[in-house]
Amino acid sequence: MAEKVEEISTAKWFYQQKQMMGLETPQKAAFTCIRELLENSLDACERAKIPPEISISVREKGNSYEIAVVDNGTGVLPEYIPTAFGKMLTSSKFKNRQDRGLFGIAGKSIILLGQLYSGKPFNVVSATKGSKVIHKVKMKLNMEKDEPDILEKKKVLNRKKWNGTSIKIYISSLNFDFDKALYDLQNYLKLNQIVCPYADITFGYNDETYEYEPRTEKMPEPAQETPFHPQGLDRPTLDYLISTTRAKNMVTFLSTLNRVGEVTAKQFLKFANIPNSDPKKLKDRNHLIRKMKEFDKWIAPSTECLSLVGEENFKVGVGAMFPVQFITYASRIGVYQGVPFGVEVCISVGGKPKSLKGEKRSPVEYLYLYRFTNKIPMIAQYKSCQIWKACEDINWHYYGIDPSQIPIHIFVHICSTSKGSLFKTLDKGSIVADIPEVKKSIYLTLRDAVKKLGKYVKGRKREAYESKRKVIFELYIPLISEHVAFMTQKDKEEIQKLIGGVF
Amino acid sequence: MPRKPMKKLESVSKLSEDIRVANQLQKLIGQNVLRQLKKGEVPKLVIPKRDLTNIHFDKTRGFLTLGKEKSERYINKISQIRPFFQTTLVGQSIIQALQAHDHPSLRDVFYYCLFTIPGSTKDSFDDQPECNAIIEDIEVITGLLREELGIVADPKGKIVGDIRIRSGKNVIDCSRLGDMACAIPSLVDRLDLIDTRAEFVLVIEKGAIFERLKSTRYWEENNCLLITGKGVPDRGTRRMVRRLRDEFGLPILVLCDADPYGFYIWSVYRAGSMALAYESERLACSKVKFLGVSTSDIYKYKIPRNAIVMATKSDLKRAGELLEYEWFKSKYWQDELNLFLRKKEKVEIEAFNRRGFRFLAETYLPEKIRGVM
Repeated sequence: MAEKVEEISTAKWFYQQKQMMGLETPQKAAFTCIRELLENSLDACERAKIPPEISISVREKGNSYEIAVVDNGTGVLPEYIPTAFGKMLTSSKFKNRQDRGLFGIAGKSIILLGQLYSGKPFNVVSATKGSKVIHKVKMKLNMEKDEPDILEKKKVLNRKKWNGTSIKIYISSLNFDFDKALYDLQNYLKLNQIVCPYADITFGYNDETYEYEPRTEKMPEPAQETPFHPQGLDRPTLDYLISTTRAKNMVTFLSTLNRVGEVTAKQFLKFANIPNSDPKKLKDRNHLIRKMKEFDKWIAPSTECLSLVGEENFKVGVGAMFPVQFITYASRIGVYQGVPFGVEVCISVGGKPKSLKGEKRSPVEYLYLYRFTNKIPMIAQYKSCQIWKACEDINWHYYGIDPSQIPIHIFVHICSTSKGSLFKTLDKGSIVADIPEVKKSIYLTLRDAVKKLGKYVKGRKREAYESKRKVIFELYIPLISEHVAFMTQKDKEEIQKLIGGVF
Repeated sequence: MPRKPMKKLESVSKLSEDIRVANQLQKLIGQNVLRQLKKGEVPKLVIPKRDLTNIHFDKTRGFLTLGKEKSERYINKISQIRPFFQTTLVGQSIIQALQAHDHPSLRDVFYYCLFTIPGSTKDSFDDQPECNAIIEDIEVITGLLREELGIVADPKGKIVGDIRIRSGKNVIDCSRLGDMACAIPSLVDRLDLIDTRAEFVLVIEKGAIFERLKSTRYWEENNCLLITGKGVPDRGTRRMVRRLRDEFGLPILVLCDADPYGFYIWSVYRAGSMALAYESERLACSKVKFLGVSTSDIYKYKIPRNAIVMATKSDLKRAGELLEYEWFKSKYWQDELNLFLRKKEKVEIEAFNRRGFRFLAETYLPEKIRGVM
């Protein structure tokens, strides 16, 4: 007897894929919940270069938690509020731009799960910049329809000229354990301040409040949406581009891609043996993709789609969180299959060295390593990470650095647009994939920073040596002068002066 | 008729000697540094190297000496300023002792110079060997032996026989000590060897044999001086032996056990020691003759089997080392050492008692002495 094949809505499917969302355990779920909402808010602020002021509150109310997140970001236009929060799969997918959020999926799964178990609807309040009205919507996610049910809609006068978004959801305490997640959350928020030192974040958990204050007002340029690069196209993206293009022929179509002009487009078509016809009528799209990857005369992609932390902010961020005697920075931009990525390394010396028991520890084990991808602190899955491996490859001894003697903190930030290939897993406990170009870039940037650190360490050693030297001479010279004065029947001061003269 | 010394030492009285050496030290260290300072040079002390690479056997003169290599100790080098300071410190201390006619031991000097350096927790010396090394440095910088600098050690050696010696205000006749012997002091150069009737000097390795021969008045019957170093001789004993040879021209005969250790003791009197190679010139005596007991004597004088001992591993090793030394290269020594290595046997002098109590004094020694004189 054949089994019935049920159709399943997207919402239902995501519900069943809790692992993918980082929701497997109540502790993880609680952590993911806050982090996802925070990341959305940060993106919303950074996009408009607004210094983020975000408040998160988690309050236990009976059997459920009330979670409220308020930010001062760009806000959501009223017509988009339902789909932005109530529909599982909405497409920011085909935007070529560095973002924290991965399609915003996890945030929505939170909402979904929360609502599912608590049975309560969620509230969204939002106003865009300059809006005279604040929109309030009460919604319930419909798992069967994969579209939200709107329960209430209100408009209120925006007297204080606020812009931003506020979300309030209710989740059951059965599936979310905030007590256990608290430590990770605090750690995460602290690390977040390193790469976003301009953020002002308040985290309230029941009666306790944790403040994460900004250290600077300077914000980086937001990542710009850029066209895709021919070598960074996969089939779905190509399909989307072709279906939405207005170009009538291949040359015009190709010219819409990142850093492709008419001349290059024509050269490519000749190389690939593709006629200059209507792109929508192109027969073999896979052939096109293959040839685009083979063609080597493309210009490297532009990098406005990236948003690095920046030297100044990185140093400010690190300095605010740790005692720092010395700090250095290095960065690099690389390209992998048409996708640009950035590597930033910040190394600081300060605090206490790690005290590890046992003999024959490799020097790398003494390093304090902090990793960030797309400005999100990475917490899990340490040693198989390429960043860790790059640290192992560095010849610390050559630079005169002994990590077991000096406390070294290494902060590595990797950012890119295309997350699938660069970062191994989807759930953002992610680690950096084993791609040679990426590996090499990480290693070279790390080495640049270590070189500078090496110079500092040498300088310090020399200073210490010089001051020790001075002290030693000052100890013995008066005594020697005494002896010689005795032996020659001369005045001690005279002899001491003469000795001083030869130094 | 008592023999008077052929060559007399230059020194006069003990007190003026102290002052003379003190002045010399001041010149060699203090004035030396001042002169360099006045010239605008970085003061340095030049110290002949005392390690094995700079020790050679001087064939013409027949003893170990230091070569020409020197090391320089600068005042402005961070690794050298501490020993530089220690050198001037010890120099000053020795001068002060001499000016007070005080003769300290090595340990006395160490304690006298030990203090905490003002402004730090470090002491002037970490331990006595560090101080001893500085004293040796001063010996080689100045070319003055520590005995001349007035530094004494605990003397080991003894002498008995027909010789008169002035020491300070007293004259000692070593033939009129009854059953006692005279201790050889450290500062042999402060002694005045007046005259002697002895015809040779018998230098004995072991104190016990010395006592035996002294109590039977062997020295009287055979008209010789008896000396013992009680093992490896100290500097005073070696200096005395050297002076007796230099000043009276007496034959010096060494009597030891028949083993490589005994042979080595002869070589210390003869050529000097590696450790103190820099003072061989004053202490080594190239005319010292080995009397016995040699390995071949064991068989020649028919020492019974039960008095013969098996040579140990270290004996054999040492014999191998001695074979390589310059002053053991004579045919006589090469034959003797090779015989020893072949036979692997040794005896103590006391073994002669197996041939009777008086065998040593009445048979062995007279025969051997007749052979060498």
